[in-house]
Amino acid sequence: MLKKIKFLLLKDIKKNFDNPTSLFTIALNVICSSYIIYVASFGIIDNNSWITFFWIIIFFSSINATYLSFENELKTQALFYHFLFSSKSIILSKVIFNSLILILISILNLICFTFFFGNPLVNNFVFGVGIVLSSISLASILSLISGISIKSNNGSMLMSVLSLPILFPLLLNLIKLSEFCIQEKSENILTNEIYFLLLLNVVTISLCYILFPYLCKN
Amino acid sequence: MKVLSVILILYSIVGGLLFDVPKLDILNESIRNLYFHVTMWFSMIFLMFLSLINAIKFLKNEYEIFDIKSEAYATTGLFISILGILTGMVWAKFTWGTYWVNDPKLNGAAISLLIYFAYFSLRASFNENMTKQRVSAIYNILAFVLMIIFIGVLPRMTDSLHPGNGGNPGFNKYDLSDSMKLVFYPAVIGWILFGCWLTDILIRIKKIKSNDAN
Repeated sequence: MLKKIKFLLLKDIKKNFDNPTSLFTIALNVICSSYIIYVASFGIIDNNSWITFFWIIIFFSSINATYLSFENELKTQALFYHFLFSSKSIILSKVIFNSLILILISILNLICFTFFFGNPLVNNFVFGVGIVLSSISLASILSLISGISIKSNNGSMLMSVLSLPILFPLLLNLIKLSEFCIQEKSENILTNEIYFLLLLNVVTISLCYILFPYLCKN
Repeated sequence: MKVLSVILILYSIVGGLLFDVPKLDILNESIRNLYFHVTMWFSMIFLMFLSLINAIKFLKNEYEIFDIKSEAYATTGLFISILGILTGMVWAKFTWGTYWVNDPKLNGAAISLLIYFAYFSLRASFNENMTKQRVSAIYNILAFVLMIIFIGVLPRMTDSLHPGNGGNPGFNKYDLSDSMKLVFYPAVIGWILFGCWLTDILIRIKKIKSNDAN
């Protein structure tokens, strides 16, 4: 199974780097949104707004970025895929791929925000850990939801309606984590928020692993 | 079941309005709302849990009846949670001064409402029956688990205007005196039974409809 996951992952990466249009679109989305905030706020925002805008941009761009992740697997070439791979390896490879994309989005967004507004973070390490963990749980929730919404008739609208309320706890938690990162420079990374993110990761990945096979059934 | 639920709810209304309550600052007599507001949330969680169980059963063996049940429980749960949010808003107006505050538990309530509205809009967007049932069962499970994390874990980590926080988001020891327990627990059972009764009627209506369709 590990071999198949690796194969599927490499296939996804290769497909996206051979034809990087979609990657460019995602990057452009992030840059445009942060520039809109720069223009709208005249380049001056306080720390709390910095955090809020930062995560909101990440959330919306990741919803856009993951929306089409199952176009091949569940729609056009569905039969072909299920003949070759088990649905569990498909979802796991997708989760890994999407988390890589989302980590890239977060880094790009951080660069944009540092460029436009400066960087108020003092505890960079904890923030980095938060970005990685949040990308993984975002990716697992959004992968499952994109699978759900691609099966329905009006996908793109449904995708945000279904995912936003579910992502709410994650958003609140991340905002709290970033407030911590702005205030203190402590070495202790095991805050409550990090524990919560770990818990969320375990729950969401296992939910994906259990529920996705039912989504593939025909 | 119906008779018992009617009796218990009537008892909680009469008892809730007439029995002695402890005199607390700010809350005063508005503490009587506890018999309605809190009990509604308890029964809402219980109904959503039944909806989750039916969703799991549906995924296991794909009988249509489980899907009907799951949807019906979610409908009544949503109805009762709207009632709960309205009573809560009235209570908040008299104790905290506004109808809505930015409090972890209020966010949790709003989010669980939104999640189940999303569940129904998901159900509405399918033409084919089989996919609709399976996909909505999957979403039901995902949504319930994350909702429980949200209203069960997150409020424990923050301060809230609700009692018993920074440790325990459930209701608390200090304002629930013995005379209040006499009304509170029957009221919880009464609302749960009332929800089950409503759901039962909904299930029957839907069964008849789906028989007609076939």
